[in-house]
Amino acid sequence: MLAYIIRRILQSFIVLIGVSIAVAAMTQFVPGDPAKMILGDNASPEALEALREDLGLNDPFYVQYWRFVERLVTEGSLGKSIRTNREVLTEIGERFPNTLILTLGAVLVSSTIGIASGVLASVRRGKPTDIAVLVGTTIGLSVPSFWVALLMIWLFAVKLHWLPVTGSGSWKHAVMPIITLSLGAIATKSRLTRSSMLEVLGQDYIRTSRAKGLSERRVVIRHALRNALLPVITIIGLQFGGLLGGAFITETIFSWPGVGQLAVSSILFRDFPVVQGTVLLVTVAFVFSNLLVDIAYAWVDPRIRYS
Amino acid sequence: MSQQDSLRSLLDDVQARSIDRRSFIQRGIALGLTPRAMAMVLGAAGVAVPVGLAAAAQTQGGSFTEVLTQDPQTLDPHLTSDGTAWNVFNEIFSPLMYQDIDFTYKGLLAESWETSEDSLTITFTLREGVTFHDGSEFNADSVKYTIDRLREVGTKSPIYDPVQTITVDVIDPKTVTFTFETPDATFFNAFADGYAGMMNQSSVEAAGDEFGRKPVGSAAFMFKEWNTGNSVTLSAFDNFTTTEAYFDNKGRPYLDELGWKIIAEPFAQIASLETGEIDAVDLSATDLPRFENDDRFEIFEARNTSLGYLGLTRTRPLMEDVNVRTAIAHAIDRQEIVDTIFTGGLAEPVSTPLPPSIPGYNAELEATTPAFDLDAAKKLLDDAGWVEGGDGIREKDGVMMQPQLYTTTSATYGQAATLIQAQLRKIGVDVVINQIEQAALQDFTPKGEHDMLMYSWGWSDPNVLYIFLSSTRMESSNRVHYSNPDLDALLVEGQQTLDWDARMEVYYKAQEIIIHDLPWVPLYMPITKTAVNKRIQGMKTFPTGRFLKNDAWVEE
Repeated sequence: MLAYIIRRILQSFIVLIGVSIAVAAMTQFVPGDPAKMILGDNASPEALEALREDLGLNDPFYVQYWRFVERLVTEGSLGKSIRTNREVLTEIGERFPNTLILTLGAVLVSSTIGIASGVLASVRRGKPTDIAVLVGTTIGLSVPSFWVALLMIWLFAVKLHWLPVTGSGSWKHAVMPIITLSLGAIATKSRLTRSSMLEVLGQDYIRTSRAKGLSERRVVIRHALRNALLPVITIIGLQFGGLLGGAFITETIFSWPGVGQLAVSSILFRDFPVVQGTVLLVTVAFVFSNLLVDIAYAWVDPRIRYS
Repeated sequence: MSQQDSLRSLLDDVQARSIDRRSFIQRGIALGLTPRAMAMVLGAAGVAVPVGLAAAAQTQGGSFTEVLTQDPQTLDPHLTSDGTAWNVFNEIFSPLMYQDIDFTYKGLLAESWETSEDSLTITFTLREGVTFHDGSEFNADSVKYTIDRLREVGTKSPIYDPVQTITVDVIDPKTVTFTFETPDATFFNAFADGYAGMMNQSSVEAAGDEFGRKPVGSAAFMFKEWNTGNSVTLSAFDNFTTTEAYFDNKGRPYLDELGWKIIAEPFAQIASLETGEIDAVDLSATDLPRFENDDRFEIFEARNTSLGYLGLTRTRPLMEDVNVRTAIAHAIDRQEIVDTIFTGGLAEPVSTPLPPSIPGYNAELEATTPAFDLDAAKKLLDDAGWVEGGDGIREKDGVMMQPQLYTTTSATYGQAATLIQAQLRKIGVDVVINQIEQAALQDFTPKGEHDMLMYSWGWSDPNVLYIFLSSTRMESSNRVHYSNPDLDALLVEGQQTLDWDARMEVYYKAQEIIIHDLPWVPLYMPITKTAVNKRIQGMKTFPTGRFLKNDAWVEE
């Protein structure tokens, strides 16, 4: 197991190197000149040239990339933001915890509600509860989260004054962003849990447990759910990456000071070092969450062995 | 003693500084002066209004919160040209001089100045008794340090260019000279601004790399807190004395705090205004009617120093004939553009190269611009040999009149381009619209492969014509590839003519050339309408829209 984890981590490094080269190459071909974006219209050709030189934008791609790698290895630095002159790691470090709050919050909320409603729907199959969950998840999947966010702002902030419109700093600020981010994920998990549960509930060993006289509660929770969770765990892992991406949009709507907000403004501004940093961060998060999922498999289903 | 004599003697005592705050207030009350009148007496005497008294005059306390669409890049004025950052650091840093509401320049940290005969040296006499927020003293060394630092680290500053040719010499602690290589008429516009705000060596060095996160200036508000991506807060500077003449309150601001919330989404901005989380928001045409009819808010109106224009690239075959360009100018119905896209009065039609919000605007030139006249437009095209084909599109020598128009992905520009397309279709010109992202467009225009450009600029000095139409700017801001030696010469003359009236004459002449050659068809000047929560009282605005905050106070 340990050897497996080490191998997986080494593999992730290769992924990271590939991604960093891809991003660095992309910045060469994307139209738009950071020097012009920074200096605006009043800049003389001389001033633009001075700034390009200052930022090292005149060097060929491989020189710029090598400088990036060198700095990363020797100083542990991802370089400085073109816009703010601050270390990219500082910029990201200030915001990443906020993004993590949203993403983990959404994982928690969507898993709890999603799995619970899925289980409920499966044991009440065909009954009003099942139909209600079906309708709810259909709405959750089809309504754009952007629109729900606007409705929530209107209702909870403007009309009822329960929650602040934007910002961060208290649990109240996090409520609407987390709900927005969770909506789609709740529906997916609920549907998946329901179908997986139905499949498991039809298995022989469930009939055996019932025949043994176990309470229905025990049958469902201990025997059926644990087995039905396997595909759901896969989805939780995969969704984590998706939620990070979704957090970018949610953060913009609610002006939540996370990495997404930073990434969007950096892309528009051609602040390449920060773009590079945020992409690498998301890659790491994605690779890492997938690794966790694989490990979780072994815990849920002891039959799975890694070598 | 008559009341008048008592008042006179009180004033004398104040001017001689021979009276303390408490006895001033006692004698003032005995004279029946309102607290506000007392504050005015002090202000008129050039005395800083004591904190306690200002509180009695209006209501001291509370905060005014505006909105920023993104985090400031940095609050170090030397390290950025970011307009978002400017909004904040302009309240923290004071420059040597400022632009008054009549557009003339007056002393702020400088008491006065003299320009030498040859216009190459300006000698500033500095104000005494000014301190920075950290308590250090402002003097001639601060001025020299500021300019030297700007020259060294300011590659991202909008005044990096002009500062390269300025030498600052300290004559004595309250006198400095600025020496120029050539006379620079744009100096006052460029340096009467937070970008040239004064800083002190010890304050900058104490903050180290973090000066941009913990700036220290000498203006009415000092830095308090910056929650990245969330908000920036400043607090009132108790020892503030160097205020602009347009304020009644000559001392510490009534407001305790000045804040900005960072909110990117227009919907969230409006919602935050409704909930009172912020106090002011610029309104879109959609939200305008609702807020105009809401008595919780007051609407402030300002003319932007900005021009939306249709650029015509003279180096392109379709646009090289001045008659074609004139025909296009005749076919543009500005009023329709303004009425359709900028509903609620969010723009005014403009036909001259400089809009009315910028010095150098000349109303008399309007009559010389091509007026909306479809018949004149058609005749010009006929005479130029462009004849209508079967599909109503003009052609000449087998070439169709199908100019490629480029603009950004902005919805406003997109709508304007579509309307222009429809208007020009009426004279047989078939415009093809291309919308690309802003940064990409700015990279594209230097190639000169666009026939038309729907774009705008913003600048507060007539030197804007140099920036956007000088032949030295082909690679960057001269997006229409216009080159005319006569105009180039005039624009340089405008930069070097320090006499105000003579300078304006130069720009009138420059505009005549532009109106004839039509590298731009001027379209509109945007108007900003800002809703402000009425709990904020006494707020003033600069004609071009900036809030002037020193008289503002909060009514609870």
